Amino acid sequence: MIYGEEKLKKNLVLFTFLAAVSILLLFLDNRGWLGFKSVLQAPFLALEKPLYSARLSVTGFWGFVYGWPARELEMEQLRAQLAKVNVDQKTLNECLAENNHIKKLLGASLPARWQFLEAKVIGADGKLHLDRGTKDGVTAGMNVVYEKILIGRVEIANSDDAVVELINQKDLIIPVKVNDAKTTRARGLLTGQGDNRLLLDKVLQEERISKDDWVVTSGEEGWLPDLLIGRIDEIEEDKAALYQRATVLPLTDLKRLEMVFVVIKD
Amino acid sequence: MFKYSVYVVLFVLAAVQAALLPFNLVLAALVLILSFAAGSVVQGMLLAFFSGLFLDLARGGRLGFTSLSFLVLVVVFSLYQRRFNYRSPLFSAVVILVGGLSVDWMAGAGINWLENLLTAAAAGLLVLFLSGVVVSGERGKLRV
Repeated sequence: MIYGEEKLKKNLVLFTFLAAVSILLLFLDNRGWLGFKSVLQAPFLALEKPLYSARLSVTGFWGFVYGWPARELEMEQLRAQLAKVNVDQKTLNECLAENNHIKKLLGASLPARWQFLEAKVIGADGKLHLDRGTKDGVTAGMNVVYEKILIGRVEIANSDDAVVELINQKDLIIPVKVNDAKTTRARGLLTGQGDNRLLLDKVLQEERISKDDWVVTSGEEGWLPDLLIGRIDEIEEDKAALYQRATVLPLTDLKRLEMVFVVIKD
Repeated sequence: MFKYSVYVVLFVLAAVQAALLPFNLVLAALVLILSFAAGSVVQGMLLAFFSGLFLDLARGGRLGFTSLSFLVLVVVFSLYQRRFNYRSPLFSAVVILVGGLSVDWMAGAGINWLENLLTAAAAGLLVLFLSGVVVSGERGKLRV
C-alpha cells in the first residue's frame, strides 16, 4: 500500500465518515432512537438461538464423559459422609435443623408484588443475551434471577433482546449480607472474578463468617433484597488486614443457563 | 465474489462468537483478512466497520461501539503494517492481543486476559501456516 498524497486524503475522508457514522449510531442507540435495529438483529438472533442450544447439548455430553471419574470420587466421599452422619446422632440432628432452615431459605416465596418475565438465553459470551427486550417491558437495571438465585442485572435493553451483566463479571460490585443457619452475621461487598468464583470483601474483622455461610443480596444500590447468590468456600486468614475476604461459589452454573426470569416490577 | 463472501464469513463468526465463545473470533478473522486478503486500506476500513456492526448486532450491544473500535484498530494496523512484516505470526498475534485487550478495556466489562491470549496464540499459529502456504504458492509461481 503506497501512501500518495491523494490516497492518504481519500483514506482520511473515508475514516472520518465511518467514524462519524459509528458515533452517530452509538448516540442514537444510546437514546433508543434506532427503531430499525431489531430488524437488523433478526438474522443474528435466528442463527444464535440454535447455536446456543447446540452448545448446551454438546457441553452436556462432554461434561458427562469427562466428569465420570470426578463423579465416582464424589460418590465415594458422599458415602463416607453419609456413614459418618449415621453414627453421630447429634450431628445428624444439627444437620437436619440446618437443612430445614436451608429448605426454608430456598423455598421461601418471593414478595408477591414482584412480577417476573420468563426469558430464554440465546447467547453467553461473558454476558448473557436474552430474547426479551423493551417490547416486553424489560429496562436497563432490572434484576435477573433463576428461582430465588440472583443471576445478574440488565445492562442494555434493546427492543427485542437484552444483555445481562452477570454476577461473576469483573468490576461488578454487589452489596451483600452473610447469613448462617439462623441470623445475619456480616455485611460486605461481592465482586466478580470473571470465572465461576466471586470475592467477598469489606467484611469487618469483628464479624464472624465461616465456610458454607449463605451470601444474599442486602437490597442496596438497585439490587433486590434477600436473593441468594452463593456460599462461602474459603476465607482468607489475615488478622492484620482491615477487612476479611472470602471466596464465594455461586449456586448456579452461569454458563449453562437456558431460561431465566427478569424481575420487571418490584 | 470473494469480496462479498468475506462479509458472510464475518456475519457467521459474529453469531458464533456471541452465542458460544468468549474469544475474539471476529477480531482475529479481521486481522487475518487484512494480512492476507484485503487489497487496500479502504477495503480494510470497510471490513472493520461492518464486522464491528455485525458483532454489536449479534451481541445486542450498543450499535457503533465495536465498529468504531475496529476502525481505529485498522488504521493503527495499516500504519504499522509498513514498518513491520505484517504477515509474521508475531505481528498478527500482538495486534489481536492489544486490540482485544483495548476493546475489553473500552467496553468496561473487565479485561479477559486468558481469552485474548488464547485467541492471539491461535491466530499466530494460523498465520504461521498461511504464510507457509503463501510462500510455497509464490515459489510455485516463480518456477512456472
